[in-house]
Amino acid sequence: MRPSRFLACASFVVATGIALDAQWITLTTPGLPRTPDGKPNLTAPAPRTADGRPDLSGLWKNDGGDRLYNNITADMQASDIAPSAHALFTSRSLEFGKDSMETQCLPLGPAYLTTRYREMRIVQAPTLIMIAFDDGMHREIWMDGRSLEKDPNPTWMGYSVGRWDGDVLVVESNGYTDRSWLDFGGHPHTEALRTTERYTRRNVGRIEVQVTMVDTKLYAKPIAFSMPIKLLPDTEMLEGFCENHHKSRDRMTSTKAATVAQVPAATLSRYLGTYDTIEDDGTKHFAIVTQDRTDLWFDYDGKGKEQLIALSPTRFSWSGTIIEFAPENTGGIKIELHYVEGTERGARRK
Amino acid sequence: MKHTTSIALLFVVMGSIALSAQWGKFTDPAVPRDAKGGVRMDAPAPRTADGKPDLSGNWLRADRDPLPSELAGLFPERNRVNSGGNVVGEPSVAAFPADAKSPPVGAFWDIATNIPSGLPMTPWAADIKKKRMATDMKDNPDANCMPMGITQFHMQPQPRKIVQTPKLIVILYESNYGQRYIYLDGRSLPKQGDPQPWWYGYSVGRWEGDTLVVETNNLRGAEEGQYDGWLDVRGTPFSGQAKFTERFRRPMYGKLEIDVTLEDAKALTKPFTVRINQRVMVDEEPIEFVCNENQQFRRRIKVD
Repeated sequence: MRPSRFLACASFVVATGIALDAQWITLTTPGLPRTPDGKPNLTAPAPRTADGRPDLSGLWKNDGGDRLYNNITADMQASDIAPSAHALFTSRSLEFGKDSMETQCLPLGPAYLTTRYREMRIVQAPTLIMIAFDDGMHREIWMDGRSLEKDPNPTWMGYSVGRWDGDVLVVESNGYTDRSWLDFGGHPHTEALRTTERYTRRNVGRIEVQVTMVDTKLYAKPIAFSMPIKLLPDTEMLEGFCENHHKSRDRMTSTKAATVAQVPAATLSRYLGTYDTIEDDGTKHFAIVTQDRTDLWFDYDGKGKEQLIALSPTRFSWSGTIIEFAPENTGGIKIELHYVEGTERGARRK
Repeated sequence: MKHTTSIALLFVVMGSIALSAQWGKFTDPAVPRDAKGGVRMDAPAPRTADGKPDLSGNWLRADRDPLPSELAGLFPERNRVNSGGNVVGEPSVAAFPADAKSPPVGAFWDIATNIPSGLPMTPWAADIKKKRMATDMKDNPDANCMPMGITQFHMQPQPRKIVQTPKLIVILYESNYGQRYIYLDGRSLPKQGDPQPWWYGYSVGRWEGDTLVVETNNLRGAEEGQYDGWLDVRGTPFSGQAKFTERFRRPMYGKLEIDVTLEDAKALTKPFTVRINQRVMVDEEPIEFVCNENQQFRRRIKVD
């Protein structure tokens, strides 16, 4: 279980929670290749448009886990991140997303590229490719030969132009407002941010997108990653609308931000190792705790390292999930992961 | 009383003054132009590769309504009409010549303004409209950043963009970031009452000659909640039983006609039809309008 986005997701789910039934209940997505038993053939070759381009149209969802959405710099060296950006990330993380775009019903901006909490529909017309999200926002990618503006009026969704490089759709964007964050944790960006996306449709069921974000004012090196995207067959997009979001925010005003604890490296090093954990329903997981510089890193179920923020010598925030280590006299260490929904418990392997 | 309506109107005005392009000047080479570069509005409508009329493009509502009585005197400058025949303060969109064969033209403020006999509302609907007007239409979904319903979306002064592909037509509305999907991929309209009622309902389209016929049902009607089932600013309601049929025609390059018919046995004693005319908007784009950004409407009118 990994409901780390408990706060913001709660507000989105409350608004949309009534709508989780299928919209077209018996829909079989027309036009999908199928196996003899009628199931969508997701490994069939990618379809093409009348003009011979790969056709990216369809209903899709990011399939890359939470790691980069929690912390877009998870694979970067600390020295490549401006101290001001790291400080903002830390303070925002400690508020568990209280001021995030999700909590305020605002567009995610560049963070749509990493979130797996939004479905998206790609509509490919000859001179325009539209990507619409289930929260009502959309992007327009112009394929009519226009160039990016040099100094555009900043927007949440940015300005995008695309071109074909063989079978790869290359999208370049700029003009993002600096009000949006790069991730749920809260890494900031400036209006100088530029992104490049390279979309490759591997087959019917899969798109691979290579993303590069450049914002040299805060990040010395480009932020680069690959995001797998999976097709959602035989269903329709569930649209959600945030209602009365300010009521939700008002109720959060009593949220007191935690403070970062300075924990000696020697204390942190006691927690290193592999832990086996179990949820209340019996589901088993594992986590590997490592140390880098003065921080602990947490790799849950082998999905990649995520930074922990120390709240005390024994309590840490994992993007809002509280992790507690309890050393025992026997030399063992117990671990508890506290979610809104309950507690997952375990111990370090001997 | 008038204070509230004026705020509600401000939302409309805010949207309509923001037409400055975000993209720099981009001259679309596909637009038919005369020797001076002016758009040939009466050129033939373009067609897609499969021979259908291509409705793609940006569209502005062409008809302009007189200010309603609630706002009389509040915005004197808006009552002035400029030399182009437009109400000052709204985008410069010239009306098309009157069409004797047209159904009554729908009005944004009160959809039935141009229907001589008024709207054939049931007592249920008339009561809801009365209550909404008595509270200054504070729950209009338009003012609350919610999807505002098919007819308000069609008649909003802010532009909308149609993206047409063979199996799916999308309408993106600048106002409240609306997005609507019309499927032409062969699926059938869901049975009324089957799926979850939705703000945009479920829309299926088909071509009848050069007319795109779109049917929509399973909408969130006025029974669902305060923001649901609004046909116009005054809050003329529709119910969850509503079925909209829209007939889209592009008789020439610059004009889109949409005849909207509403069948709704709970709200209407008989169906009615209105026409909504749209004029093409070239060389500029709708802007990003994020309604939830700094949304203060309900606080200012002291609802919450």
